[in-house]
Amino acid sequence: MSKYDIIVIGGGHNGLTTATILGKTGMNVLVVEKRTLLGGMAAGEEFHPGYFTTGLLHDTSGVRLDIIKELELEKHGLKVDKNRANVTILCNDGKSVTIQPDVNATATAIANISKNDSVAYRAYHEFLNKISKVINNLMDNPPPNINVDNLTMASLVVLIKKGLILKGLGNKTMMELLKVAPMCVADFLNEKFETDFIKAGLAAPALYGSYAGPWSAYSTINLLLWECASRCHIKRGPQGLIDALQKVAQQANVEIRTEAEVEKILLNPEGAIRGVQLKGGEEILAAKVAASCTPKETFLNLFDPFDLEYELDYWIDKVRGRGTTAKVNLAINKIIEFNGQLVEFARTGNSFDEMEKAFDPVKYMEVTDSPFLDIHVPTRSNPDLAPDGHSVVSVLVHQIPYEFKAGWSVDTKKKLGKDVLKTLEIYSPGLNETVVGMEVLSPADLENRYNLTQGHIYHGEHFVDQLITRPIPACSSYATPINGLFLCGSGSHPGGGITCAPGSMAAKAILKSK
Amino acid sequence: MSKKYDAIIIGGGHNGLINAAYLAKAGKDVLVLEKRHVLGGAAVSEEVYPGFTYSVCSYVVSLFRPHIIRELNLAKHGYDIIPMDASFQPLPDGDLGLCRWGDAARSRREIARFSKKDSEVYGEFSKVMTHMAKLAKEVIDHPAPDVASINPKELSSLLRMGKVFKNLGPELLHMNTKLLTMSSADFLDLWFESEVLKGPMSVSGIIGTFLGVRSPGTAYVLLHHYMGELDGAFRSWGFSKGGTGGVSMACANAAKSFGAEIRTHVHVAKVKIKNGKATGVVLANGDEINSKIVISNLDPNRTYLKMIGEENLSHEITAEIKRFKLRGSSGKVNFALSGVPNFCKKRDGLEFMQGDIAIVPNVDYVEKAYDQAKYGEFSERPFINIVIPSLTDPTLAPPGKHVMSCFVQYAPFNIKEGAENWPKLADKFGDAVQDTIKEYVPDIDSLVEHRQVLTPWDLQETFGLTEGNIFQGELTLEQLLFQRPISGYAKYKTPIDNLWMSGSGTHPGGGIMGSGGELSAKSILKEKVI
Repeated sequence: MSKYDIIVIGGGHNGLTTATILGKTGMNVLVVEKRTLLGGMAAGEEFHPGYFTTGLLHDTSGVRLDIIKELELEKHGLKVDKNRANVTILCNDGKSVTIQPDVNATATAIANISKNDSVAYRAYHEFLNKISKVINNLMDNPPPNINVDNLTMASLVVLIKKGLILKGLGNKTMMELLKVAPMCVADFLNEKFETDFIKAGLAAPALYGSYAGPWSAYSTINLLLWECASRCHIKRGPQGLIDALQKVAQQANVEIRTEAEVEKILLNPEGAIRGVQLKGGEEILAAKVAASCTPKETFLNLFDPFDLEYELDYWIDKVRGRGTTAKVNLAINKIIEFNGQLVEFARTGNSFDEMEKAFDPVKYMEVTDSPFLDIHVPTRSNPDLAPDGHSVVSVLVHQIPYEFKAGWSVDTKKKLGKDVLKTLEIYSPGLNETVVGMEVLSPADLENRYNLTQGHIYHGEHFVDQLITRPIPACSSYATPINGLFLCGSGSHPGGGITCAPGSMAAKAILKSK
Repeated sequence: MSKKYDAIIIGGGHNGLINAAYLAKAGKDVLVLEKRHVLGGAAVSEEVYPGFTYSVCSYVVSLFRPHIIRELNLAKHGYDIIPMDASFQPLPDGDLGLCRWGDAARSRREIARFSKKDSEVYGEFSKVMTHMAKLAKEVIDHPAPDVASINPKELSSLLRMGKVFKNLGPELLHMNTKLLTMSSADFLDLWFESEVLKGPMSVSGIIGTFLGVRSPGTAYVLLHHYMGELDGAFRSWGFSKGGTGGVSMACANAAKSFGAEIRTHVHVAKVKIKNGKATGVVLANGDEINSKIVISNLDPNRTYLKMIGEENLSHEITAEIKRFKLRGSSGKVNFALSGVPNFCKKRDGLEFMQGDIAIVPNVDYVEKAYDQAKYGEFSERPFINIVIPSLTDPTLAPPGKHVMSCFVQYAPFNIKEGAENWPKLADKFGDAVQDTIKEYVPDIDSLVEHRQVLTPWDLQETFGLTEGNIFQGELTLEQLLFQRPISGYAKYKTPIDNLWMSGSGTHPGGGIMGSGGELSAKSILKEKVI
């Protein structure tokens, strides 16, 4: 007789969400986390004595408000601003524009640079508002079952409903959505805007975590998903979310074990889940396992190869998740400014050509000298993260390939750190002399530290064939062909980033499966 | 009072001629007007240099719909295809290269030289692709369903399409999603490991597009290679006897036999529009010809912005048509040669050169060619697809001599210097092509008697292909099906009553398929507008 009803592998935000929802229904839940600290990519860490980040990822705009409400996270210390945070787009000529939650304020700011773009920005937002319902409906519900083999009446109804929501947009908006969604983001924004650096800054989120440049087709879908789904901002960043999640998990009697690395998922002779085996040999039994680690880690590393059906093994192996992100954390001994402004979030890119040129070497397993940066200054709103008067600059560096011909080593990382500093220096002259500590995490480091297959921050690329049927058709509804095994991480619908959505929908699928 | 035709067709390309043939066959009084002195549009043969017949633009035939051949009795009118049996990829350093043959076992033996594993999955891959190609044909052979409509007819045609997909089963459906969205390089990576094999296979995905083999959305175009259908056999490509113009001449002869009138050297300046209705055409010399309907075989850009004119269009429609992307990416270089250019001296005979020859030693090679083009330069080392049709059709060149036709990518229409400066770069472009070939055929310079260089600018100026796009518009998903050329007007109609379209800029797109002309004519006849 096993003590637990279910074991959740991984104590990141999705794992904790799944565990808590299940715990609240009275199930006996155990979360096993490999690291000493909870939170996964959302965990804040001390990277230099006295200097802290708020997580590997820093964008909390996509956290689902419904889940915050359902788990009563605000009662447990979560502070959420129901607006997106300001993001400043930096240009290398010293100009900048701050994108604010208020469309009018943003349009006014843009008007200083270009009157046309200011008008275009309003129109762009009108379009986003129109389609937002469709996109959020997609984000907040399990994926429609398009497995034609067992297309039931109920799933057909869901499909038809989705179709009707799309039709509900009206013909004009629907046709426009169908027109622009497959476009490359450069074409999409070139149709609307004229200022290079504004276009580049607006496009950037479409390329985060993507094996794509701005000229790659289908990148517009990612931009629309991000723009429509991001609606809030969590104070104290991802770590703030984890703190609250941990509290509600405890209240739901979820047991959490850190420094517990799963080595194997155990099956009984019938091929159903029996439990897990930790490194060191300890076996923990449960008839259900929910894995929040990557699908490839789950199926290809935690099972014996002979445990899996060939088809399952084959398709999981084909899931694409080529990491293209590195992280550089800087400890700075002054209050940092970029282009003469105090900012918390900033993006660089300058132009589509520059961004595309940063992507070009990725294809040949090489690294660009001029990456584009997604900058977070957590000390701007939370000075406690560094000594008085100091700053933390935490940078997600994009278009840095996991597959690197020269290999990731101390030397190549040093070079990467140098190139990032060189780029930052353009926007904050003198920055170099103020750096007192620095941590460079290559995509290979991300793989090791967070168990991210190939260092991919979203557990698999957000690409058309890996959305909706994410990660593969046979596992797209959180259940898997293995009896008792569920997926609950970023590798499942609706995908990566800090949203809690896969965790929540997986929990519901698990409850339904009883 | 001059004569009033039932229909005037602007442009004597193969689609226009097929349209004319179908309408004339149905007893309509049809007039085709072609601006140039020769018929065929981009499917044309010309003796540019005495004694040598070039397939000036389009150089192979494969997608031509067999039912059109039957329905118009084209074989009787001179439609004659010489099948291509080989697809050769030379490699530098005197390697044997890789030749894929019509005979699958023979191909597998060649592939095994580079990867045993690849030779084993090659057959499986072809099987899956052929299956998918059958599906794609379903899409090609019918007008695109209108997704915005709730008309039961439209819905049933959507359902019919849905049913085809349903019948695939989940595995193939998933594969199909991948095929429709992935890059051709990524898609091939699902199967193969050898760069030598993946190189030439991947380029099938980029011909005529301004995309690289690593650009998402290019895998779908791979299907075209498996859709070629000659005498019912998949995957077969061929040369038209006497050059590609032979196809157009067969179409023209068929049209004439049904009573259509065809005039060359007639330059249409505009469609005559009265009260929002097309009533005929106005020629460049000011003459007018009247007709009940007008059918434009020109690309969407030319049709809307030149033939109709912005003054006759709403702002919305004008804006939509200006969004339609053309961006040509290729050029063409035709050679008259004094002897056989040998692409591999180690191989016996010339059989391996009787099909197409692809200069693309690996995937990175062609992707790097694209990278250069993205920033407004032609590729110094381009992907070249070469055919030497005179090896199988001696009528094309004097005895012992040959014509060599090179399709070259990338040559972006919009170069840094500005498109109008292409003529100044034409020679340099031609040299880049010749120099690239020289790496495989060291004595090429001494063989060249004449060289014709067609830059994207020439394709626009001479053949009327806006921005030199050989498909009259990019074949990207947002420009296909119900959105080709713009949504609401994807069924060969235009915002102007009685003005129809039929070229490659309409569904199902470019290549010598004849579908645009056929489906347009059938729609016109079905609606009984004439």
